[in-house]
Amino acid sequence: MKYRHSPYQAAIIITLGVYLYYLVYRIRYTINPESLILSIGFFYAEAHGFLALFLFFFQIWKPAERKCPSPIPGLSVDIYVPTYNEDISILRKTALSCAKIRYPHTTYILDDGNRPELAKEAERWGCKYIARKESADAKAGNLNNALQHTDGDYVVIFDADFVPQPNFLDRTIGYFHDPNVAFVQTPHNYYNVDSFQFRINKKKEQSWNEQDIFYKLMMPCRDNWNSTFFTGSAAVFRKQALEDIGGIATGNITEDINTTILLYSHGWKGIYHDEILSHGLAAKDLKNYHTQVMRWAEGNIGLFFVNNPLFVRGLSIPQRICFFAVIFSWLIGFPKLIYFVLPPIMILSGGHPIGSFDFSFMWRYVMFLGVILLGFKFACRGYGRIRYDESYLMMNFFIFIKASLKNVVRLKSVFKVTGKGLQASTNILEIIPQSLLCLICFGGIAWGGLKIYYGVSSDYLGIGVAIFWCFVNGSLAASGIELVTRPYYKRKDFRFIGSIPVRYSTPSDSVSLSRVGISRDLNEHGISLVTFTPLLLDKPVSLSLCLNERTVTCNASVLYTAHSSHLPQYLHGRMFVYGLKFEGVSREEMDVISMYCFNTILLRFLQRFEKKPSVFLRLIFRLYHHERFRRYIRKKITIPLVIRNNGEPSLTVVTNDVSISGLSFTSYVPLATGTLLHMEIITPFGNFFAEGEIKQMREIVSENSYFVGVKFTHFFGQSEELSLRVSGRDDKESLDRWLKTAANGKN
Amino acid sequence: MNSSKLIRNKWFIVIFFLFYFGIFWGAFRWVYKNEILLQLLYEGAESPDADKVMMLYNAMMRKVPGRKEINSYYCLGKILIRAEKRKEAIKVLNSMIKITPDDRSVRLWLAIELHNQQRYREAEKHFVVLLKKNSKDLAQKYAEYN
Repeated sequence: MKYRHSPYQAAIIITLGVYLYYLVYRIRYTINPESLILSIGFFYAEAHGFLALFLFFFQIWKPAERKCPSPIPGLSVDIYVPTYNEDISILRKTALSCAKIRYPHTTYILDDGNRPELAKEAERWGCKYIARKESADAKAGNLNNALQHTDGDYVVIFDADFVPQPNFLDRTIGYFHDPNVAFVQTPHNYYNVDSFQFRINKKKEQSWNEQDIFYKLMMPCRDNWNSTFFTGSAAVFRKQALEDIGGIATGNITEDINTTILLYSHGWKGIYHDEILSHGLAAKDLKNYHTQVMRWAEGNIGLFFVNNPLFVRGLSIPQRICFFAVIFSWLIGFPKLIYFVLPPIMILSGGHPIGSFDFSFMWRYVMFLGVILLGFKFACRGYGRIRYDESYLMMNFFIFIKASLKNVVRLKSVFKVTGKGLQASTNILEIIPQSLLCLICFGGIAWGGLKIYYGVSSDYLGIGVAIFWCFVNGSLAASGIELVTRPYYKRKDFRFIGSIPVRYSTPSDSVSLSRVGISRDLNEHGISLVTFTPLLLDKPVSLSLCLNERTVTCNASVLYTAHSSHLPQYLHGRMFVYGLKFEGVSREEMDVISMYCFNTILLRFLQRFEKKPSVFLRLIFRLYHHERFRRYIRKKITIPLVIRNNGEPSLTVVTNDVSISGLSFTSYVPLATGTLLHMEIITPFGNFFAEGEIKQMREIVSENSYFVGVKFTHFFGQSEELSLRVSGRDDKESLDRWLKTAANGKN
Repeated sequence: MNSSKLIRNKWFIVIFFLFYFGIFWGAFRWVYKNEILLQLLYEGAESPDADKVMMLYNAMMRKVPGRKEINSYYCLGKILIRAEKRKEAIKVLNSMIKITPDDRSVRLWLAIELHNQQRYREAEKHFVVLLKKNSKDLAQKYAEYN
């Protein structure tokens, strides 16, 4: 597909062309000598935007297309997990999942915190422990110290909170067939989707993470220019390459990008393997998030003085542009500040940044804005979410400015570790810039409104446009404040969102009477369980968690129950939601649950919430391929399903969707198409029995999740009526409608 | 109640913004008191209070008008005419002409006012400028003025 990227490239050229035309028009005809400071400030912001957009578009010109090579057997690999003060419970997950990596390796815990208790734990986890007496050069120094004390030919680096998948090395080590490859970087994926940098829409099954555009679009495209870079974690290095540049680069707090520049300048190659193979913990609250962003911004801007990519020898021109783009992208705080404060200043002072604010300017401005927004959206191939991106910039612009100024006055940077423990409530001091901006913008709206009301100004167009932008910026600031001041979760460990079948029984039930419910979320400590029979608050519940081929049995106590007023009338007394805490679960069983969450639930969640084409595009695609439309709409109903073999339950799963004609579910074992299944479907209205034929089966998550589509062939007894009720001819009583509501949560 | 809870409290938000906009409203009325009075007098149907008009006139003529305020001075001129303060109106029109010498309507208005005040020499100068530039639409502008 030679021309697959041509439409995006055309959009890039058109967008930049229109932007350039607009800038030329602006400088020729609209600079206002009466408000020169405002006018020049506004023009600077727009010119900065052009350069930033050009650099961004250059980076995303075309993604590299790579096929994962087969692993090279017999290499000696060391895994480094540098740590400073991270909680041992976080490190435990990392160490255990490192141990589960299939390719032979040795795991080292590199403890800069020098904690004796961690040394003991590391031994228990089967890891080697290395500590330093002093912690010079922070993480870079820690890694360099390990390079001297270990003898593997390849080095994998994971941050303390990163949980790799068992196939991590199988998928990455093969790239080292090429002797020029210095490192292979994989994407960072964060599993705690309740953190500040995520937006989750459970109803639409859409998610947004502030780093999506970087890891899913920019990095694969930078790989095309051989400009991908080490991002501090989840990467494999050839030790020889690191030795060639004298180890991990020091002298800058972003050792990752600094090391990459040195590697490229020495003629090495970098690879970006675009497949999520590990999962990290995102900063949970604004304070820690800002600490992280500040470190990145400060370090990356600092590169301009330490290892300036424009002047370092040995880089190709695209590499110079790409690395300069990284530095330049952090300077966006200044133009953003201008954009945010200019409209209220315009209203309050009566000054105009535009010389002739007339129709001739307005149509060009509208055209420019429209082309930029559409062009950006299209060129980002579905990863550009303008509203969220703007909201992100609103919450960070002040940090970017602070980082830039710190670099300008050459203040010494200190490596601050991002806290990954408990979430803390937002302090008002952290949102002072946004709060002030909010007040200024809404003040500007009031002032402009009063000007029009009292007839003080006849410049309705100018004031109208300024009020509009005040409203946009003020709303962005207000929504950001609203987001970060939401009541925070006091849970220490994140609950993974996903449905698994859970058998439960109370002491009064006989063993044969165990019932099946489904989880809404789960972790090693507890579960949110949906049941179709009530549980007693003061009685322990016996649970059997169906974790693929393994079943973990434990007791649990009910901590809370969802109030019945949250349920619609027709589900009162039929469906219940409980919060349960596990009791008497061994450490080994907790690890099994934890690994299941990382290796199955999380991957299924990512698959479900991945980028989807718009409804319109899907329709076009179907028409183009002459695909048949379903006669009955499949509704996303998640209920337990027991597949029976000779009358005995052989597989307990959870449905993805149900209609009167069929259903689909996710299985952990592959099933052949054409197979006849005997199914018991458990619903709040009673169980129904049906026979169905597998019509389609495909792997959705490597090795452990298969999508199975079944068409009903026969209903037993009154089952057809029940099925009809579940899939809901009557939308008011649809189970789907309720389940969507139940799943709704704000993140 | 911590700060996060406080700024999420609906009552706090309502009361805070009431105060906030109240302060803005007060500040606006203070900053633009002349302009507000000007609009009030300009839009009023009956003949304006002479004392108020003179107070406004003195306040506005104390500073040099900018291009952006030309509309306000136009209104002031109209109010002065309605209050039969024609000499003051001529002063206002003269200061307007200094800022916008190409504004033909203002110049015609000034020329007619000067003529009505029997200051023919001064009026003649303005008529000459008007006739030199373009005399075609002068009749229409005169009709508009009347």
